Amino acid sequence: MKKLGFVLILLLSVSLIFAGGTKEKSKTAGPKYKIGLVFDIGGRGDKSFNDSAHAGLVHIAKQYKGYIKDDPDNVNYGTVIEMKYLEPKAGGQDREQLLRVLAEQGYNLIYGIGFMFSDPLAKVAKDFPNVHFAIVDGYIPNLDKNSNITCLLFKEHEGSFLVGAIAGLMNKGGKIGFIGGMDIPLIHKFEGGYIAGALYVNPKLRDESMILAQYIGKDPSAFKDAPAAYNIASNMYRQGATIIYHAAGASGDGLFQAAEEYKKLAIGVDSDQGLIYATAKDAATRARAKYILTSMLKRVDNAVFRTATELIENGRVDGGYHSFGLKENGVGFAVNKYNKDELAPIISKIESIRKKIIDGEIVVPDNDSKVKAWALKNLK
Amino acid sequence: MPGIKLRFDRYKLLEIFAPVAGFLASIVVLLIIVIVVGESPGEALVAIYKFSLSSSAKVATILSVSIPLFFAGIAVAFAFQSGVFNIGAEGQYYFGGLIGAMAGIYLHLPAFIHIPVVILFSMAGGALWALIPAILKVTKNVHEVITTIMFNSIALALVNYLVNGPLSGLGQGKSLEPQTAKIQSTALFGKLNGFFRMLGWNVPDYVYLDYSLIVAVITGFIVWFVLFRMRHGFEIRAIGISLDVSRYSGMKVKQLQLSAFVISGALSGLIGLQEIFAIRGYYTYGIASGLGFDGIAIALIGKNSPLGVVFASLLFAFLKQAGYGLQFYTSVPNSVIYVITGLMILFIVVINEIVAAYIRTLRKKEAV
Repeated sequence: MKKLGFVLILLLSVSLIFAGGTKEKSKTAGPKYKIGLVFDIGGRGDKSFNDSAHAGLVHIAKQYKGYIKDDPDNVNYGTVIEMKYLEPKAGGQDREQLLRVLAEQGYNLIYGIGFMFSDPLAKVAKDFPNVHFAIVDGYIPNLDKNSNITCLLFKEHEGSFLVGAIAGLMNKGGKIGFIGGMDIPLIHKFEGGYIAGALYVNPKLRDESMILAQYIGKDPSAFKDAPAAYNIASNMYRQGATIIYHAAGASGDGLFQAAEEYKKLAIGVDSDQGLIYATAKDAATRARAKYILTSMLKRVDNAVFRTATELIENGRVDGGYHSFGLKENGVGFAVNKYNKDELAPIISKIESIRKKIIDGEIVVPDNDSKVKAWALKNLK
Repeated sequence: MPGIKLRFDRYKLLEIFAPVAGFLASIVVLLIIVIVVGESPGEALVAIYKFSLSSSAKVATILSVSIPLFFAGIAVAFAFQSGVFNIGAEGQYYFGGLIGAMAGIYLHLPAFIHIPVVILFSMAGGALWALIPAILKVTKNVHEVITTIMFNSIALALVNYLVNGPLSGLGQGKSLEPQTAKIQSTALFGKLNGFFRMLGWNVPDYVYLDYSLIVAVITGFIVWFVLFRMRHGFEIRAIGISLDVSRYSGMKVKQLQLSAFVISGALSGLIGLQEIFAIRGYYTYGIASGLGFDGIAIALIGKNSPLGVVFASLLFAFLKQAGYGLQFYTSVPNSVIYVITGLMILFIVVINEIVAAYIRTLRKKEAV
């Protein structure tokens, strides 16, 4: 009797397997280009850096009639471009494996999001000379126009200078704060620009006690540690900070939580976080939106989009290094319908600073350790 | 009576069958979840197959991925055999790997000495990191679960500090990933892929079947020999079964615990070999994390035996690849894939235990 039951279950499960197996596949014409992208561990959904890359894919889909395969949001505007993103579970050889499987499956352009892809991307690119690779924030040496790798680098310090200036103009006499994610040179670029921008517009902040800065940690988990960011932010607000800027990826949510609690202001990073929070599905997230004054935009989406445009328009992508600053519209600050009125009184001033940076009149320091020398030279 | 012999064999068979049954059950669970999510289960199976067994490259990748998992499993299993719960493998391989990498960066030796030296240094580092919790356990009776967890955090913090600070090999304008200086070429692990191709197994060059595979095989044999063919190993297993009985029969229980703990640490030190010396060629705290905890589950499934750990680590590697297969070929969301692999592990462990308990009662009945 028991045996019979077992056999029955077996039969049932086998029949189930084949019952569901008729998913329609529209195999009319294959896509013209296939674009793949690999996020880093736990990247997608950070409402910040990685989601900005995702927004780039959505932009490609809209512009060139493409679709993102297996995306929960069903991004689908046509079948000319096929896009697919993956996410590793662990480091090691996993990043390399995912890049490789995309290349093997005939993807024409493959992105690695984040500097952790530097090594794996260089290795895989060597094996697939006909596939083009692009890395965001990664630096791979000895590339030229004919290489099949493009490094997409950003002048985060320039964008941070603008939000620093905003903080310096709107701090109402209070202190300003900076929360960094992982303590690495990349994040110090944000800090350097931010502090310089604040000092530039507000002489009162030149007292050393007026600017608070702290890093969450020294490993990648610092980018997804919202409780730590919450603690640091609460502490800064209690010390008299009125505006805090973060460059800490998904940890930033902790800052916004603290801002809501202390009814102070926060500045987001990478994506337009104010807009993302204001249009979020759950009410708790939406409630935090009005404490997000603005965001430093790191237009990973623009960089992703522009690289794909090259492929789609010219049939190939130039290798080498692309630097995205204010001039290239690669960084900036967010103005949306929610913060427009609040920023209105100072917007012309910020715009004139932007022009000065683009014209080279202001050279923004790219590390907080360089700010002191910069201030002595440039500020009276 | 001839019947007894036969029945004994049937139990043995049942024991071997248990993990297989667990695996099959976990596949059923997987399919149910896939159906609930709205994907076709047939496609899911095809996706898993494509990413795990469809070509020799994929099979070789499973073998490659299983190497660090095997070290993690055998390290934890060795401590388990003596009744010590070493959940500090994580910290031990972070630290062991760092020491090994230091030997690879700063010592100047010919390759045939340099490679064994970095392996020994990695083991020494792991052993050293296990030593303090081990001493605290045998002298002060501080529970090792608490100390090893603490030591995991300490190792991570220490390694972070060193790689960002004194040992940083980052020049200006170079890669943005924090890392040490490069390991010398004499200490880097070569690949065995050419050798396997000679044997007729068509493994492409990019798969990492490196010297760490040899180290794994040798380690497995030595551990088996020590545990099951040497007096020291017998005593270690004895204290694992009953501390009191062992003590009354005159064994030096504390020394045995200490040695099992430290050997477990030394074995943990090997976990990072592949990634540091074959894949990256430098040390960074971005090396794969969480392996120390995978090791616990692997030791459990492998029933703490070296051969069992081999199969369990291969199974883990397979599950990981299966997850990527689902991610690549189906629209099952990532978070659900993590749930699936977690559930599969749970099912294998649970069914394994149920069958084991069932066999025990059958045996007892027979004894009566």
